[in-house]
Amino acid sequence: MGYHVTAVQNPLTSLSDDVIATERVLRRQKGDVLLVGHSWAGAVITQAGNASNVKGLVYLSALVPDSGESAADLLARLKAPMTGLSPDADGLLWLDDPAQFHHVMGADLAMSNARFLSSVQQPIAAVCFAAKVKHAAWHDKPSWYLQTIDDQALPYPVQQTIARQIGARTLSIRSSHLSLISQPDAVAKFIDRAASESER
Amino acid sequence: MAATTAHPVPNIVLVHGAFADGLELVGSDGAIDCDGLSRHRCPESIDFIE
Repeated sequence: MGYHVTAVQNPLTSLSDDVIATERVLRRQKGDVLLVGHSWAGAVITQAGNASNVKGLVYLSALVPDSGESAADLLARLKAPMTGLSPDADGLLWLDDPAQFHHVMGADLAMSNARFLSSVQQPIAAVCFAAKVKHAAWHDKPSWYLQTIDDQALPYPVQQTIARQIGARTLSIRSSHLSLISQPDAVAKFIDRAASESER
Repeated sequence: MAATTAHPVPNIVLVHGAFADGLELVGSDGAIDCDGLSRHRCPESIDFIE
């Protein structure tokens, strides 16, 4: 499709750290940007998306807090607690049991693939979920939300509520939480659609 | 880092979620190709790991 694509290597150590990592990448871009966030990264792009070169926000099965709200606040408000996570003494949350990873993240993937993804995962610091977004960029910029119907990590009805609350343009597909892997064509087309519509 | 396209919005920046490392975005088994947002399947990398 001919875009210049970059994946942020966000550390998952705090909302602030992830936002800073994203802002560094945004400053490397020549021209306007469509900013895409999967899952937890919905909170990250909601804050980092305030950068002036970001023209639109694409959420993939994502958490999308409002201004002054944290991801934990959002989940509590929508009565959607996270399950299956394993905390450690360092304040990190893991999902490193391969069978649990498969069930929660990607039940539509081959078990061998789920084992691979489980073994290369980064844990996320629990403090990420408590940090509040200062200003939610979706108030000011167009947004799109890809809803995944068979999602065991963030239930589909919760995604629908989030998308409706932020006024996003939506698409629903039959996929687990890891639509980027199970349905890459659909995800790529959705992002391309958002890029096209953000030009208008 | 010059954009490779004439799209008015030429750049896509992807941010990964928890329990991931970005491989699911531009990587190993059917994510988004960082050379231009097309489907990218590379099962050999999975085989290599296993």
